[in-house]
Amino acid sequence: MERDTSLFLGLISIIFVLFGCAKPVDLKSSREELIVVDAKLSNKIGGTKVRIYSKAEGESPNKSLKGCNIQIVDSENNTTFFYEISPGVYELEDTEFVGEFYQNYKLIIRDSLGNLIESSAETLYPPVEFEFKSEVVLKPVEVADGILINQRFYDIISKFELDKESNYYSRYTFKYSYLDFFTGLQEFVNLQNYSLFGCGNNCEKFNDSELNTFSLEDRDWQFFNKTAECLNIFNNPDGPTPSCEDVPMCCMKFNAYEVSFTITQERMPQNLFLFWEQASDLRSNDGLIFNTYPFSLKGNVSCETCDYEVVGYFGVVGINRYSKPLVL
Amino acid sequence: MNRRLIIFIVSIGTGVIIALFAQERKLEEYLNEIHDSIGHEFFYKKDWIDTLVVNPDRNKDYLSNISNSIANSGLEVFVKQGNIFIYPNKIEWERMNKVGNSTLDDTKYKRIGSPSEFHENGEYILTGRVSNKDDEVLQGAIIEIGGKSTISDKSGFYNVTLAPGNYTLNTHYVGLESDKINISFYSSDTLNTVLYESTQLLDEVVVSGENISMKLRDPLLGKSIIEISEIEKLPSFLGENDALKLVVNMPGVNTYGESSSYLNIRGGRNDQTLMMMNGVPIFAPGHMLGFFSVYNSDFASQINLYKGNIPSRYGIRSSSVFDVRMNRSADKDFEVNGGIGLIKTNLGLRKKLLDNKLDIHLGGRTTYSDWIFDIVSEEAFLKSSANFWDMNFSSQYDLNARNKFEFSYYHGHDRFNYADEVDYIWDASNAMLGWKHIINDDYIVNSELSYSNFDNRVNQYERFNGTRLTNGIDYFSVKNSVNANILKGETVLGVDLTFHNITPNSVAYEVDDFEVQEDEDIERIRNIDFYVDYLTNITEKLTLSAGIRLSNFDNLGPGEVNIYDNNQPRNTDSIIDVEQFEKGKSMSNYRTLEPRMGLSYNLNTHSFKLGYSRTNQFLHLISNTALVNPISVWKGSDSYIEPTTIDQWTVGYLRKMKGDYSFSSEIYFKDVDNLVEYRNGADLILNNDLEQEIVSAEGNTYGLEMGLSKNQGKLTGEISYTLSRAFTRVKPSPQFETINNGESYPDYTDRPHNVKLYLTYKMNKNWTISTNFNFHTGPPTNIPINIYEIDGVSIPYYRGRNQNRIPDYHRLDFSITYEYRIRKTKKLRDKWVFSVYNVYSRSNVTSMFFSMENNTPQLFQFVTIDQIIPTLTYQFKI
Repeated sequence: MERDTSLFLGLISIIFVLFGCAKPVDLKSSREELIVVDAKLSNKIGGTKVRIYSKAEGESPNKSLKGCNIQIVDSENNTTFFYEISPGVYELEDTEFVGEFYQNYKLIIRDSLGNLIESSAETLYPPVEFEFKSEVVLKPVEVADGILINQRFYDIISKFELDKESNYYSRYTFKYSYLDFFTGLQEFVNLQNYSLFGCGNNCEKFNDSELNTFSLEDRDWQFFNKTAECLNIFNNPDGPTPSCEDVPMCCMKFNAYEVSFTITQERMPQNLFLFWEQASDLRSNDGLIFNTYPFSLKGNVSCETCDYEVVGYFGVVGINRYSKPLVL
Repeated sequence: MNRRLIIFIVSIGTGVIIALFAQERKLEEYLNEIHDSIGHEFFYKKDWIDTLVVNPDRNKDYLSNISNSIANSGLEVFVKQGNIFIYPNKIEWERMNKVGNSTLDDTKYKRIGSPSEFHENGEYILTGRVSNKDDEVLQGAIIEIGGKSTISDKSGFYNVTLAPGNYTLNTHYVGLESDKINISFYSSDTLNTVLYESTQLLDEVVVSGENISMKLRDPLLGKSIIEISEIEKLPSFLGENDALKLVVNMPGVNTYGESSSYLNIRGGRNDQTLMMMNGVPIFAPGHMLGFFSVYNSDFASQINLYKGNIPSRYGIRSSSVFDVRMNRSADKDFEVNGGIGLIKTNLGLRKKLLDNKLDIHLGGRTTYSDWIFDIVSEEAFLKSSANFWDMNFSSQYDLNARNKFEFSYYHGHDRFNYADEVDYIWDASNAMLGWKHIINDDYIVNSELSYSNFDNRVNQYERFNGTRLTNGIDYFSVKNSVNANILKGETVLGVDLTFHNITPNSVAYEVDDFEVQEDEDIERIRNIDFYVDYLTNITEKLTLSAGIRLSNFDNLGPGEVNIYDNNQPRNTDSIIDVEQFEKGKSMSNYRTLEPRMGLSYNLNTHSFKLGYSRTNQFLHLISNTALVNPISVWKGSDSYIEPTTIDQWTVGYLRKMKGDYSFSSEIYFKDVDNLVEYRNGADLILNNDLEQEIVSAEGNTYGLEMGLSKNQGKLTGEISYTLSRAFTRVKPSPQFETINNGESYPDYTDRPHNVKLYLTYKMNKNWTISTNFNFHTGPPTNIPINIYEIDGVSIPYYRGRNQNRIPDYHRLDFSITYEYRIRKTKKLRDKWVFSVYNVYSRSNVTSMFFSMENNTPQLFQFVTIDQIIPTLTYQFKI
């Protein structure tokens, strides 16, 4: 129903034009302090990190929470400890650690004041194997000053062959990347934060500017495809081919000798999927029509003794990647 | 017709004649003797004949004797329609006959009924309607005739039973010149009365339709009856004088933001005010997303507002009643009125037919606002359009003195088109057919058939396919009541049969020109209600109003009801069974009893009042915001959504002060049960299992309203202060999570402090200036206390519901009116109104919201109107 909501906003904006407007307000002045735990455990080496920081009151900058004692405990009481690699950022002492599939993990943090912050126990599920039903041919358009991307994700995703088990929840991140001779591997900037949440058939879907969902038999999500903006450039066959200068968000300059398209899948438990769904709901409220009523989204961490509010998520995800060289 | 002396003797008994011829005496005594003996009515001014004597000559008829008596006095005798007039001279007599009965107070005369129907011992009914010079019906006018007195009702009607004979009918109304008319009453008939401003009050204004004496005695707290002429004196918005804008100036009455047409009265929610047109509910009271109301001021005759003690004849909603009567009648055979403004124009026609028995009124309004988009440079708006039209038809037919019929019809159409991408279209209709049958002075039967409808569509056009979102509601009602003067009081007994058919939000997809409509689950609800209202004076000072309403509510099949595990949160996973119901079977039933009571203790200059009422609400507006929007839907009570119940206690004090001032104060407390609230994260759109999103809450609302009014004089108006608090608390239950940890929190209708002022100053016969000022504390809202990032995604964090407030609201408006016509006899009456809305260009915030702006979290204030809006309007009436 995202579209229906936007319809009404369009109508309201008519009234804005006549008499009113939406004015930005400084949110900083109304801030109250939060302690945020942003933690992830995966089946990949180096894929487990914890970041703890304080979202400041007023206009103060965010502060990292230093000196915490952090550990992960599995259902068999095996413990793995973290160490602080930079202020507020913690990595596993065991650099070879990878999560085991179907194992339950729990995050335990003791801050410098002795307060205990705990997450709920989360299960690590293996990523869903995905194969392409047919060959994916990526053919960007060469222009004088670079290459233009005109590939919809839908054209790629629709060729997925996924396991259709009903409790499947994954997040897909799409990246065009290229190896720059001087600076190394670079990501295509405008797609960095774009991801799709895939779920089994008949699952709840959500979407906003960054978080979009599709189900396996779904066809709606294609219309929200971000690269459609770039695709539209080519919808007018009579028009001139744009240059990178015209449409920088769809273009890569030529310095690269190897360009590829990468899909990263993060298989997640249902609770994490629901967390993102709720986050999406909160992010899409517009003040006139709430897709949902506002609520406190705290995540899966809590602290009984803290005199500050703790929010965040300890996400446990099974990761795999698919990379496809771009045919130039 | 010969206007001079006409010898006109019908039949005179010999004995009577002898008795009349006696010795010399005063002329007035002689006239009285004739009147007492043979019934002839004489009309004269006492001081004209005070010094005159008569010495009756038995050989002459009494007219000759009178003529002899007035000889050389400058007076003359005229006979008209069997009555005898003594007048100063021929010129005055001719003037009186030329202008009819409307100007010469001591000489107005009418024959009522037909002599052919006359029976000496019969009793007949005299009925009529009382209105002012602007055709507005006057409720509460006092009619005195033949030693009896009665008061006109809300439609301005009165009726009185009389024996045939000659009478003087006196009509009084505060602030207006009393009317006196002499009648020869033969049989049942109608006599309408028009009251004009009195000579000494010609430059003055009367604010309230109720006089202060009536208010002092009235035991119904929070009741206001407002004549529509008051609206025209207030500053207008875009040239439209709106009934809603008037009541929002009253203490305890608010709307949510500037573009809402739903009234929040004494902490009542959007759906808790029963908004009506001619006694029929209106489900979409606004045009252009709420900037205009559906009440065309050309038709509106009276506003009835009940903020507290609602009479038992009103039901189904729980907080208050706002009923606008749209039956303004014509005082001439044919009238045309209209107006031209910045955005809209209106035109109306009134005509009296069938010997003034049928009164019809047809009119409408339309906008031509599309031009506004042409001056906007943005391409999307160049392709956009916004307009509405509505039409009203009303008619009253007096079949005879005992039977009156009334029919009214309204239809409104709104359409917004945004950039050829979205069409928002709605239609609303409202119709009423009423029959009033007067049995006698003590019994009147009212019957009414009514219908109301709201049909909403939102069409979205896309490159690949389109969607259509629809919802709506239909209302049918049959009402019957009897007004009876029994048990030393006024009693109303009635029964209402009401049906609502509700079409919830449903979506249709258009693919290759083939529209696939998703199943619609139409909800059918039925109410059968019985009620009694009783009003009596217990003592000279103590007046009692008591009533009771018995409601029987059914949510009818076909349909299915989910059965949930009572110990689990209510969601899809906790459904343990689904119960099926056939067509017409009751899926859920509620029977409620609603006692209502009001007492007033009147000490002439001040009165104390006490009230209690219980109301139940069976119809709920499901909305995911305080601002009602196109996807808000109505929902009947069902197995999980119980009727909302409100118990209200009110204490009031009213004082009549010197210099036409009055002071009023009321304190109220409401205890609310089964309030519809939404769980955290509730998703209401296209949801067929709303019981999973709705939680049951209780509320308490209290407040203090104080107002100082000046009701008459060149300067009129009111200044008021209101303390209005409204709190909600979700009841603990294993079936849904609590909100704000089960603590009480401010409801969206909570407005702690309100200050309102409206003033009208009539400078002279042509110029009137008026102003109004409105201040209230900003309503509660939800603002994230912070924004945190997880995995690179920004997420707003809200601490609890309604823990923040929108900035305070205040606004000043002003208008100046120049009116041409000041004499009653001038045909064209026109006026220019220049009004300024939002004089000091205040940017009042309607709502606050969080949004991702280019992937950066940002808080916004939604300002509906952030500029000064001047308007010039021309209005005329012929």
